[in-house]
Amino acid sequence: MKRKKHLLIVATAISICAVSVTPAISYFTDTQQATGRLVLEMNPEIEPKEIVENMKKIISVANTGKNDVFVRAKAIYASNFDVVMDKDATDSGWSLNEADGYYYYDKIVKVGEETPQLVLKVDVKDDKAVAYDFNVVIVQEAARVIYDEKGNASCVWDEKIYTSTSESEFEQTITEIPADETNQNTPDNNTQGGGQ
Amino acid sequence: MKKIKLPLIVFAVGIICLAGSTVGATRAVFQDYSNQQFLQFNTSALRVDLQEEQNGEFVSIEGEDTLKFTGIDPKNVHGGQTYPEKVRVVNKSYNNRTGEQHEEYVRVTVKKSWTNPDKTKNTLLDPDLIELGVEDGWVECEDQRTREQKVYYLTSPLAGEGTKDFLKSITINDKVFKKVATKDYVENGTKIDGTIINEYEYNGKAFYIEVKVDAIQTHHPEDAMGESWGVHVKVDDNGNITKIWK
Repeated sequence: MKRKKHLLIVATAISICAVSVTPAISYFTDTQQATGRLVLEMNPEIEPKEIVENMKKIISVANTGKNDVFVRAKAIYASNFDVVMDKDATDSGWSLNEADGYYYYDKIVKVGEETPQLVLKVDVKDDKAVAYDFNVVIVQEAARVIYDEKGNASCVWDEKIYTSTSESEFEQTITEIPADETNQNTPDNNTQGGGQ
Repeated sequence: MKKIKLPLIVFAVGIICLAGSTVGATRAVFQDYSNQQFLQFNTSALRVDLQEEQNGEFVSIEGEDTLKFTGIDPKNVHGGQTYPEKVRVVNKSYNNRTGEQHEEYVRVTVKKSWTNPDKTKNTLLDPDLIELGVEDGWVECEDQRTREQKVYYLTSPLAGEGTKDFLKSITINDKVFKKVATKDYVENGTKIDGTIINEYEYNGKAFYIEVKVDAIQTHHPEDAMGESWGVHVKVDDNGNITKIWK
């Protein structure tokens, strides 16, 4: 019994020694690590600029935000008037999409840049009118530039990021109406007609 | 006396075994040398370098905020646009006596995440929206993939002084720019009824990228990678890794 006990102790001691001996093997290795971060700034903003000059509305859009954008503008006016792009300004990069009535600027407006002027001429259809001043409303919108895998730029107007509406007052030329024509139909200066 | 003899013997045997396990055989060979000769100990150095192209030139990068992303204008990041981002690894192994260069196996671990303005990690934002373009020739061990981490292995040893491009591009997914939260407009602490504003969730957040390269000897690659990197590999007769798993 004692012998067995001693053998057990010896075996335990040898086992502990065997387990405690670990082969010391080292492999050649090397490592190097680097990190970096970049903050995203997403504050799209535009500043619409308008002046009225001799029955012309002169519009430009400045990109005052932190992201490149596409811009468009639309004129809203009464049915007695017509607002068309001034022929002398057709090389400005602005063009009319007759389907929706918007004028689109064909280039990306980069941060800090301003579009060339869009000159809109206001014509009175029927100048035999009561003397009213009238307003033309301009809506300006911007949408974020999106790039596809090939680097082609586009935008989605349904996700426009900025809309600005401004109103300018025009003074209408007063024309005297002959007494025998006073009962005839007079043009409506208030019904909204232009700009879909 | 008899009673304590055997336990003493047992104890002595145990001590001898324990001592034997800690003593390593060290032998020093002394050589005759003249006054003009010196006994030199030469070791090979396994080295790897991580480099990023910054402003047209590759520079070694190591440490926090050393990745610069010079191909991106931080003030004008566009969703969906692919920006150039070149990162490569260079084998700088050598033997300082013979000048011999050594091959080495390399792997690169990439971690991506979003951080708040105070540089703390933001776990609510999606790291997958940071898209990195990896060059051909690297194989990902999918067993090591996590939400933020991917590990890529070069299947062939990299030659001494050899370079291998790793990253080629970075793209911020356009979904980042569509994450808009509509909130009530508050002015001077007062909510303005009927007025709302849109806030971009990722505005002011930073994408954070960590790149780590590991290099290991080409001798006994299965054992070396298993012990040091914790992965199993199968290497063919040409030294090419054919399978990697954890």
